Amino acid sequence: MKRYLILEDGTVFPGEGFGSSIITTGQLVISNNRTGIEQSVTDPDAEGQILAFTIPSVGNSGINRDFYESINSQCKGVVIGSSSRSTVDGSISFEDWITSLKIPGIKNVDVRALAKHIAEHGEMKASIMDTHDEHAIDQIKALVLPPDLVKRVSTRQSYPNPNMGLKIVIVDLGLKYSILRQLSYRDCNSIIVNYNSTVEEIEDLHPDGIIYSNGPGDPKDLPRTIKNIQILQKKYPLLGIGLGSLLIALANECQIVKLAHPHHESSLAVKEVASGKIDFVNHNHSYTLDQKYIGSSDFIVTNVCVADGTIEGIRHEFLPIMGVLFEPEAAPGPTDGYYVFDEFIDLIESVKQQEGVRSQWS
Amino acid sequence: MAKEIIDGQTMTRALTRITYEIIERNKGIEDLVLVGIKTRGVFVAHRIESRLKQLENINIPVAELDITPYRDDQTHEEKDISKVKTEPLNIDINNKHVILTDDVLYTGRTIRAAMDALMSAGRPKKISLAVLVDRGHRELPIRADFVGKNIPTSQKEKIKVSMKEIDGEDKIEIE
Amino acid sequence: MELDDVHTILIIGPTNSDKNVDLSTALYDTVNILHQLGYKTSIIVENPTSLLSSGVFYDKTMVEKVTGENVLKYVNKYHPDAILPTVGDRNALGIISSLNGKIGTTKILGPNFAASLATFKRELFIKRLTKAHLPVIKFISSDDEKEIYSFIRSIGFPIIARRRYSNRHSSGWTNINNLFELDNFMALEDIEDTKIEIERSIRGFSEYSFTILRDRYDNSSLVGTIEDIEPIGIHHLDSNLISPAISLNDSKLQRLRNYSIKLARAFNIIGICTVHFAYNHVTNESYITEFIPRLSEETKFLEYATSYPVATAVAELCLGYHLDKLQLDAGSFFNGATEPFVDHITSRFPQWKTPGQKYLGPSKTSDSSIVVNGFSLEEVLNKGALNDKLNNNFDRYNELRKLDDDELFEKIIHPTNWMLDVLLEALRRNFEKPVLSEITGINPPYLSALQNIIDNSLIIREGEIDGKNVERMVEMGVKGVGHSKLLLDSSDIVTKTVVKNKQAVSVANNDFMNHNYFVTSGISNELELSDRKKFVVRTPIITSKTDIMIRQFVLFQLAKSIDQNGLEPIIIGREPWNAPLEMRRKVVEIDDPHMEVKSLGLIDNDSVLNIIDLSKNLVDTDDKRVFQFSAQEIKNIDLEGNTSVRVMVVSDGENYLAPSVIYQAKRDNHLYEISSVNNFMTPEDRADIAELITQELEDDHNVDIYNFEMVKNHDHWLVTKKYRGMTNDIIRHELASSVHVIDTLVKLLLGNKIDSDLSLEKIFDNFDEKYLLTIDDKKYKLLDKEEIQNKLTELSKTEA
Repeated sequence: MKRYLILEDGTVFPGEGFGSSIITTGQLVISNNRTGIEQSVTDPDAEGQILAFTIPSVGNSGINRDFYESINSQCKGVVIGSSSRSTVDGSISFEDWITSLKIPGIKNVDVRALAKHIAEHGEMKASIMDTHDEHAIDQIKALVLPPDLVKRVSTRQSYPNPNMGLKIVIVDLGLKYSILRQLSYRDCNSIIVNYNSTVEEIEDLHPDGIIYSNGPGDPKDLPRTIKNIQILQKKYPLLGIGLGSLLIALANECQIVKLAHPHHESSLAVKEVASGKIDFVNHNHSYTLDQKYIGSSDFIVTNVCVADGTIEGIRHEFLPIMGVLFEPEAAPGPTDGYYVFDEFIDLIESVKQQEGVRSQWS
Repeated sequence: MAKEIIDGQTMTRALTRITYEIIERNKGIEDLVLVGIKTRGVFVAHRIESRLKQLENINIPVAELDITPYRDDQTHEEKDISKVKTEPLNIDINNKHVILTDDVLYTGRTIRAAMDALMSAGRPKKISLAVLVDRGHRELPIRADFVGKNIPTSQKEKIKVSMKEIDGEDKIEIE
Repeated sequence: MELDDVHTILIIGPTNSDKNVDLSTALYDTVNILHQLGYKTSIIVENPTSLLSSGVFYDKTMVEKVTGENVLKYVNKYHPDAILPTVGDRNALGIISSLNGKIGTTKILGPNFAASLATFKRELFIKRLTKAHLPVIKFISSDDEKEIYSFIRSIGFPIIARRRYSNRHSSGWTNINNLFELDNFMALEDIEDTKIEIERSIRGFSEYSFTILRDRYDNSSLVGTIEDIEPIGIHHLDSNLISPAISLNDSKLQRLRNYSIKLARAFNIIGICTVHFAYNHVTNESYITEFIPRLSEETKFLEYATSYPVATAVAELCLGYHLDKLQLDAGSFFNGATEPFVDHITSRFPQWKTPGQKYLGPSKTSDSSIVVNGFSLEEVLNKGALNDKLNNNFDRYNELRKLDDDELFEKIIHPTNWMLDVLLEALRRNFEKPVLSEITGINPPYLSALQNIIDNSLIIREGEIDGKNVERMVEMGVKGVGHSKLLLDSSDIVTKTVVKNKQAVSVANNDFMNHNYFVTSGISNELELSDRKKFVVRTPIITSKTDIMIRQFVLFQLAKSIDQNGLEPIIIGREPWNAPLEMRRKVVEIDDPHMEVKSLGLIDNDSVLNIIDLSKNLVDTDDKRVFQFSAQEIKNIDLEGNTSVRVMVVSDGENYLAPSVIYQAKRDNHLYEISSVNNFMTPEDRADIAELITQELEDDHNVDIYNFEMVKNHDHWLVTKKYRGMTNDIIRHELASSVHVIDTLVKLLLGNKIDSDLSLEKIFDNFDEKYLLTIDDKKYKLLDKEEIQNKLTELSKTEA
């Protein structure tokens, strides 16, 4: 059936509908991910988003349910160019899968033209509809996207991901399961808590380190979490990933900016400033730190995006705090960034060793 | 047979981490001086120096120290340290925080000798030690402040550190 | 940053073998950037026409057999700082692996000795990969029967086997599925020193190739991925290739990416490395089957597909540049640290010279290939492998339709180059897709794509074309079959025929911007033209290797000349043309397999000053602006002579120049040809020849190129052949002549005139210093004036 992707500015992209036939509205995100449709669609970051995939022939590789990044998809809609009716491994086809998730989709869209439009005019709201009259466009304009995206995706109750190693508390802002996979691989004994858990609740868990996870939306909508960071960072090693690292920055008087060209691509080069080493990692962020404020802050820039110089990693000069804007857990994308988890564990170990030395001598 | 226990990437990462720790624990790096113990300790010093420069945009002086004459574990007949001439350090270490760097920390005798040499060259404010590998079996009360990797070894085993600058590639092997 | 002890570089050039792939653009880009960065380069090459230039970039050009011996001779004489084998095809790696320990301090850039050797020696390959924990297939190479049979017992059938001869050559791989086939293989007579190589058969696995770049500081990037539509068991270059590899999910893709990087690290390969994989999607087994640490057909294809300047980057990486700090030329930097993102599919379809079916197997049989772009599988299949204009698919269809089901099934079991047509027919007869996929090893998404194509061609054949069907057809890539007009006129369509850039929108793609476009479907056009006047060059599809070389050369010279004369070159081809990098940003290149650009009206007709058409048969002869470039025979007299000349003439309609004359003599069953003999012709000969030309051109009053063949008979020159347009001699004329013919032609087409009343001296003017001697069109030599004079005297003495 013929459907339309309508942007907030009134631009119309015709296509053919598939999946759920409901009318949907969300923040339109252009994703240049090469693979991992499963991961992107189930990524809690997709809460409230319509994802437009620019790769050709979506779905040939099949759908692997082991790649889910959350139990339920939060994605509001998908937009694609072409897709395949069958898969290389005999698994369910992309369109059937989207239908089973009850997500509306639109295909045969000129995704190149769409990507160009967004690159020129910036990220905006969009809607998948059956008509494209004035009324429809007015509706999109009038719609206000909910600001409580993190609240919708964060776990309500704490739950453990038990293991025998270091105890890590993960503040769930929209946690991807692959972060847990990486921690499990490193024997970490993790506990996942709600984004608004109090300082006391977290301290009662006696963590060796705290991770602020990735998540959707504008970091400024989370003042309580930022306050908590200001207290907790003095006592525990912290790792921020994506949204988490932006919160850490805001807790330390750094400013954040919206990227002119948002990073939604599963393989973009990031350079480690200290060594010059280049890693290809998954990016999924629209904000970064403002260069202007970093010099006067206590942070040093540890990683930058090679293509546009965007700050991609920070580290506190005196406290054991690190943060990355990219997604070290990949999922999807190259695995070059896994080392960030090793580095965080090294950071915790080194803090422990220092404390050990101190307690021995005191 | 030699077995690779640390590859190039891990070594690179360890050096980066040591650099972060140096920044973190010194609350600024103004007074720092790096002194590398010949041969591979010098490369370690230079790598830390280039990382500090990239991160903080500050040039830290690097000096080389040849401590062969000071070693007390050598079977030289000449044991009178005062008579041994060493290459003078080409930088001023008075009131500086010296970070001594070496590739492997073993008995501690090399480090002791290095500290002797440093003390005879001036009066540093503080001396810290950064090593790529700590393999245990200390014979002196010496401990490294920054360690790339702790590797438990038997005394019969040998640790061989290769660095790109001199050996063509980065790796640490045990044999 | 770069290697500071390398200043002089010897490049191992391509051989003259037909088996060699054409790497002329890559070679040009390589020496061009080396030249710009201040290196002194020399080259050993068999056929100097493959250089695409008259050698301005080279310190020395050695025209010799490209062998280890000659490389060694050069090294011992000139002591270059380094040898670069990346543009010398497979032969260069063979040479490198023979040089170990013989070249003193001369460095090898790119693939080192061990890596080169491991591409030939299976044992070494397996040993090194096993040590690096990389997956390889079990293999044996032995002349001991007992050992061989014991190995076969241990792995069981199916296996593949071949004979490896002492001279590094080998027979092609043979598939062996049972005892009978094994007996047949083993029963073949053994030549001395022959080893038998056997490995577990991975026939039917899917084939992938990953190409990575790597710098001296261990930074690697995946520059592109390719998948074969046909499975392992059919030679990679006989398969239909698709880039990027779209059938790998994230974990499979990352696994193979990590293996590729690990392999390059294990061999410490700097520059480029293509790694081939066999992947079984049922068991998730994967194996590395081979690796290619140099530029190749694949890297050329990836440069088409991604627009990433692969050849230039590789040259710089070999010299120690950082991946993120490369240079496009001496002035402009670019970030090479990107894994190019493409939002379209690029496909390479093999081509065979002769029609009819060919059985396919592990040895390559195809002669050339065609590259197409599109946004869906259906689109690239329709433009390429199933494009009736290229492959006569309709004839194939008619032939296959006559087969009964059993005969058709036979074709499915034994793969030929008609496989996709066979599958189309099988799907038409409702053969079950899972069965087809299992037998052919072709993955289900391709069968679905074929099914879509059938469904659509049914729509077309039944003539039910309305707006709705058109939508579906465009989606399936059905274009250029007479419906374009309908698509253009229809007001309510999802997609229409448009021109898109080959570059996707990505933060990382901006550093190597170019103007490569392809005709596809969408809602908006991306063609961006400057306000300069246009000069259009149209090129047909070309398949033979000689013709490819000529096209490469002619297009490059034309584009360069058009640009230098202040116009915008627009190259419209049925298939893409990868210009050398220095031109790529100046030339607008449009791939237009169905020749639709014209009807789209994107190029303002008034802004087009001239059109040069390279096809043999012109469509629009009425357009005065169109100049037909390729040769039309006008005169052909059958008169053999021992000595003859071939003269090329450019005329403005009134006056002409004859800057290049090729001398040709047959002696003792050998054909000797010498270029630019203008300088050796006697005044009498000049006058005679000029007079003949004047006579021949009497009635022609337009700008044109002519090629004459003249025979000297009883002291008189006679015109035996006359062509209007350019013959295959063009490269030799252009390379050998200091007057650039193509540039002159462009200037004349733009209205410039040749001075009248030119002296004979001026007409035949040519101030070359080096002359090209060709023997039997195979051996080439560059000689100086004195040597040529001697040769000419020698040849004229023996004249009968």
